Amino acid sequence: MIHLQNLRLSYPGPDGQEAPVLALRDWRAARGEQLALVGGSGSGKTTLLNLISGLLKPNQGVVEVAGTDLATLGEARRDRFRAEHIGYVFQSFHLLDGFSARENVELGAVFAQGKPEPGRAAELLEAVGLGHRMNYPPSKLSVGQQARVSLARALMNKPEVLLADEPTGSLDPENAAQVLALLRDTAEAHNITLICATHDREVADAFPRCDRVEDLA
Amino acid sequence: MNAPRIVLRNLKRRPLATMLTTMSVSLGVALFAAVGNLREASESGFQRSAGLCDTLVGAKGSTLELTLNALYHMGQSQGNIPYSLYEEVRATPGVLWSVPMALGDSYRGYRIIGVTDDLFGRVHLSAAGREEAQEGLTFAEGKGFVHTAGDFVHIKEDLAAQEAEEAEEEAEEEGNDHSGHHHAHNHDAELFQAVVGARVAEETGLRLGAEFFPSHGVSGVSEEHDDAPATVVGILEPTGTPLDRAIYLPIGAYYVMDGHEPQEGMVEGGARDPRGLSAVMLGTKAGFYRAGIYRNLNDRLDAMAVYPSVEVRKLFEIVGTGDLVLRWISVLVVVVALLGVMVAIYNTMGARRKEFAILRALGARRRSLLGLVVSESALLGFFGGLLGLLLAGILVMLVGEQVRALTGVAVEAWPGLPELWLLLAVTVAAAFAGLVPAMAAYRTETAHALASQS
Repeated sequence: MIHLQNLRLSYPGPDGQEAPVLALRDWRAARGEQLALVGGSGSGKTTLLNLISGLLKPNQGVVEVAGTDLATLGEARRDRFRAEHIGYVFQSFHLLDGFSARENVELGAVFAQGKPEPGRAAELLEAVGLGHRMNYPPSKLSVGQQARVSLARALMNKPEVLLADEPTGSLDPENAAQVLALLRDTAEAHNITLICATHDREVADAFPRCDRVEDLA
Repeated sequence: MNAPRIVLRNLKRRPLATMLTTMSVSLGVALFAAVGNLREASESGFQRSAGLCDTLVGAKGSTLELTLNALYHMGQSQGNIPYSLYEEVRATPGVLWSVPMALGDSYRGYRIIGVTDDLFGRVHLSAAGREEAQEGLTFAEGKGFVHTAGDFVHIKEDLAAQEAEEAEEEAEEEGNDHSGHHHAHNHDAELFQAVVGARVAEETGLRLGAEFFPSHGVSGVSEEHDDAPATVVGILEPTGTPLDRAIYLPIGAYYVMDGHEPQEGMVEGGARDPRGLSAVMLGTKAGFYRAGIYRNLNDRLDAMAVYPSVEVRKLFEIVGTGDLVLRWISVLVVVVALLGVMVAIYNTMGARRKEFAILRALGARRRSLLGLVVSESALLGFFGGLLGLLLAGILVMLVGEQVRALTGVAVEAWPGLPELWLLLAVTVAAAFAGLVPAMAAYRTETAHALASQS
């Protein structure tokens, strides 16, 4: 499902020299697999998720997701690919103010090709237990509820890959456990490959597979 | 949810900025559209009035003043033309009809004009953006008086004879009874019939059968001709021309009123002919005849001919200079407003980096972000333009009403193709103004922006 090979990403440093950000030899994740990526701050967890989602393009190597090598695609095609195949849950959930919970979920389908199923956003919000908060703006939702809206948004286009970047980072333990369970259950129910970047050992332990980013080079 | 809704929602999220930028655009557009519309509508209205006759004859002087005074009832008369000239002109080959005009009296600020009944049957109401062109006037109530050029001629001749008689009598009685001076005018009640314009009827409440006393002079505050009440026999349909603001009496009646008798120093036949005419409206055969009549009249020393439509065009050419300055000023206002739109949107770019990064993470292309911001800007321009056109419409209506109240000329402007083009131009210009902030959105580095917010 996901195959990263001989991956190298670097940025030009202030001195003009290339500063390596991430190097990875060979890494795979199977369809429906759930795994945690762990590592310290600045270890490259988020960078790896951004490479898998096509937000970043490696300087070198293969980023094959669902049979497509994103490293060979132009930015616009990677954007389209991301809209249609990948769901992304961010650490601080990144919901847009000025849009209701349902509209935030619907935003997930705006840039994908084809029309979303009518009522899908409402269905997803029902599924994450927020049927009664659909028209609430994010500012009127608790952090746990925002996490659920963010998950519903990530699922809007029926992704094959779900990326979660520190999804429990801003939650209390109870909410963290609930959100984590929701993520895993949803991924399992829809046979979605779930990759969760976390620095939290407890969260990582909840996953059947856990890879240390530093060990992938 | 779709892209247009995102754009609208973004504008709604910043109500104050949206309102202020829209209003600033609307002011510029309103000024631009109102100036243009007023000029065009005024010119069209004035041209429609100028079309009442093709040629106007009056005393030598300013051609524009003659036109304004005789047709639009503005300003003062430059003097009279001799009565004999009227008879001469009437008989000129190529003259289809002629309406002698005597101005000088008024009723409650509305001018009273002595005319013959040809005014009702022969003047030409051109289409000029209204329904269809028509010959002659229609009456809302009653009908026109009957007072032909022949009647006028007879009255004029009778008066001359009567005055000669009086002069003889006075000479005989000289030294005996100076206080016995009186006027034995023929105050025929049938003669004192009046037709009033639509606006006069509306404003003064003069209805059919109503009697009123004309005032001497055009200011409306002079003494009344209390010897001569006029009876309203007809009320004209609105024409959108100065005809609406005038009262018409048989021209013969003018000459038999007290106060219109010759005064010392006035010489029959000259520009100060006491019973001369203020002007004569002519309908002439187009082409060779019209040009000939025009040339021959202008060769005379005691009169001149003008083409009212040419005079109105000249007037609006003069007005057009000021109009052009105003239009340029309004263009500058629109440009400044569009810069304001650009700055207003650009100032939000920093705060919206997160929003753009989220949209990019959800699959939005850079081009989509560019489109969103440009659309926001274009929409501000569109709403501003729309509001501006609405304001311009209100402004034209208000000023048009003032012009109509002052001159009787209907100044009507309805949104048409030029307004649609203006709206399109402002929308496109606003879209271009939005390109600067849109480029900032376009350049959003998603991963970096998301990381800096998390």
